[in-house]
Amino acid sequence: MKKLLLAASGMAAALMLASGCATVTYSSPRILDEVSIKGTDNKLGQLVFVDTTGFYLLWSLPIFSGDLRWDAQKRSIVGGTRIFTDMVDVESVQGALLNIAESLNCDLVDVTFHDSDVSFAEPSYFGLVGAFLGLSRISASAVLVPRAEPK
Amino acid sequence: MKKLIYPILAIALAGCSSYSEVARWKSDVTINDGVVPLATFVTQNFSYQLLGFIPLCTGRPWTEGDDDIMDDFNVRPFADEATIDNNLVSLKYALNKVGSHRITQLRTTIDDDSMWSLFLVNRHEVRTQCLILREDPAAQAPAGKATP
Repeated sequence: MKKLLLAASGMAAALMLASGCATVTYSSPRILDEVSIKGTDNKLGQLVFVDTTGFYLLWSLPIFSGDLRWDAQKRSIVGGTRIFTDMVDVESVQGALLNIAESLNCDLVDVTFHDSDVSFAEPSYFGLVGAFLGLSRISASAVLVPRAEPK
Repeated sequence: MKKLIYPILAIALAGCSSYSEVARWKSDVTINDGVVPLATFVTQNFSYQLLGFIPLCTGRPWTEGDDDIMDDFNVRPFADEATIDNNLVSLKYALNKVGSHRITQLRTTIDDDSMWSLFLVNRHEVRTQCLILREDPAAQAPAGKATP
């Protein structure tokens, strides 16, 4: 049973890596109709959330992290996961947000950043080994507001 | 097998829920530009997925018939309703309750955590907050094109 659980855990970890540690999530385009957001001139806004996560050994050695680089040709976030590279910083999240806004010809309202760090000393599965592992996450949310004219 | 089933059951019965609250601003204290908010809105919704993609259980959005504060343990099995859209559905319900559809400082955060279960079960959490303002009488109804 223990081996089965470990195999399932390994598969889940691999799936998580494959699906990427960087995400961009949008609200449905018309979900905020009837809602007036201050600073949008009563234009219909769309909520966007950008998130990147990194896992570290001893808080300084990156194991893997999310990739928010912008692909200029596809006009989208590269996405995915980079191994042994630390790409989790405010600049990459901010850059992703600005690139999304520019590509959609939108301005931004209510931009907020959020960051958190988690140590795995507590989970019983890891025991003390968990204390060597850390997770760092930086995210941002904002409202995309269409511009009247392209800049 | 019991070691796996019991924690999942515990999550379904106790840990997976949603919470929403709208609190009236009972003061003349102003925010950034001299505006006095009408109320504060917060909502959070949780869901759990086996191996990160198989839905186990979820909370639900705040809708018609709920109380002023929803602290809901009405867990729905095998679904995932913890989404930004559902939080905005809760927001719209709160706006209807308060009687104003003008907001500021809208913010959302999404957190995924599966390390606690050695990647077996992912806990997905979506939180949304904003301040609700009084309707601006000079403002027209929201109009315009949605972003693509």
